[in-house]
Amino acid sequence: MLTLESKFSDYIKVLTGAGACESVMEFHNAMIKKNPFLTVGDAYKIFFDDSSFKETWVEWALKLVGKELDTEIRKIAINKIQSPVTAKKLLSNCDFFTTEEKSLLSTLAESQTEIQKLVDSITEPMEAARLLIDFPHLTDTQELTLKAKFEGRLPTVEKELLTGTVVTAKSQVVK
Amino acid sequence: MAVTDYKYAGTAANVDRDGKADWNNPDNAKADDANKSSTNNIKNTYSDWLRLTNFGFSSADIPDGSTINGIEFVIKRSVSNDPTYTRTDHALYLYDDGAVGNNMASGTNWPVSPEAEATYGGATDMCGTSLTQADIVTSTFGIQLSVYSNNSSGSVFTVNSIKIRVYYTEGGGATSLPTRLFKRNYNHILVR
Repeated sequence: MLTLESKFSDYIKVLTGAGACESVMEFHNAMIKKNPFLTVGDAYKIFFDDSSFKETWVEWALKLVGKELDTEIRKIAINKIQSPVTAKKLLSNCDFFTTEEKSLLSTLAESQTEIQKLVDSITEPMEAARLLIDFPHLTDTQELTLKAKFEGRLPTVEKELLTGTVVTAKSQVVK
Repeated sequence: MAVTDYKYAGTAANVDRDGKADWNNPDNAKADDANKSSTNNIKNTYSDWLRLTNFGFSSADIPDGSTINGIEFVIKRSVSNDPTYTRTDHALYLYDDGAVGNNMASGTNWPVSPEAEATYGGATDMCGTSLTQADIVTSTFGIQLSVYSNNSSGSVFTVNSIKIRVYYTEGGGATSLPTRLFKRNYNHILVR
């Protein structure tokens, strides 16, 4: 189990074992070359202080090696997540979270404030359709708002929703 | 109403879409055989365009002066990845020297191997275009596709082939100027 004090080189070994892609490994190896004594805690601070940091990186890291990280590291990572969609995906695809971690992620995934922000920010029709199809925690009003953003512009998706070829995650939860 | 045979593209290319992941071996999507075109590492985003044109329709397939009633196309495809993630079309347009009509993308997940066919458009579906016989018989007529995955570890999408057939009514109207040429010559008037 890796902790914040573990060597970053050990973290890299775990990533390699989990099949991380070459380009990511090059980037991580360059960090070790720069500072051979780097700890996991140091490295995560560098990642999170980087202005180009994207939360999809957290999702990727947690999914790939999350079960090898202690809860302290995972908590730091989870606290960087802002999107309810990312939180929901992690809950659906990782089975190692503690009750407390699940609760943190569930709170974000179901946060109406964050979901509303997301719904309001979408302008691209396919993005609106994807959120409507994939995300279960939408209110009826949010569903209508999303539909309005793609109605008349995605005929195949509209037909699939109408005929039930594609069903929304929300409708499956209700069942 | 008559319908042409299905036709496959004569030309295939990867075309940049916001610097996303390329399609490898685009030529492999020109025929239904063992060779396939694929795009890797689509992580929480969409891919570049796989653009297929030059489908080889001619006046022998769709007589001059015919009215186009519908366009149907079939994509034979698969994705090799975790089925718990979203892995779908992102943007799918008919192409006539530029994307035309509606985004025909489906919300249905691509099948994890084995590959399967998905059919779009149909006998009376113009896919949001007003394409004419003259447009369709040009070498620039075709289709372009971009795919999407929300898997942060990346998905590999594979297209075996894309084929198109056209529904038409013979002698349904006067030979019209191709849309492309019309736009080029008269767009300044339309804009006003």
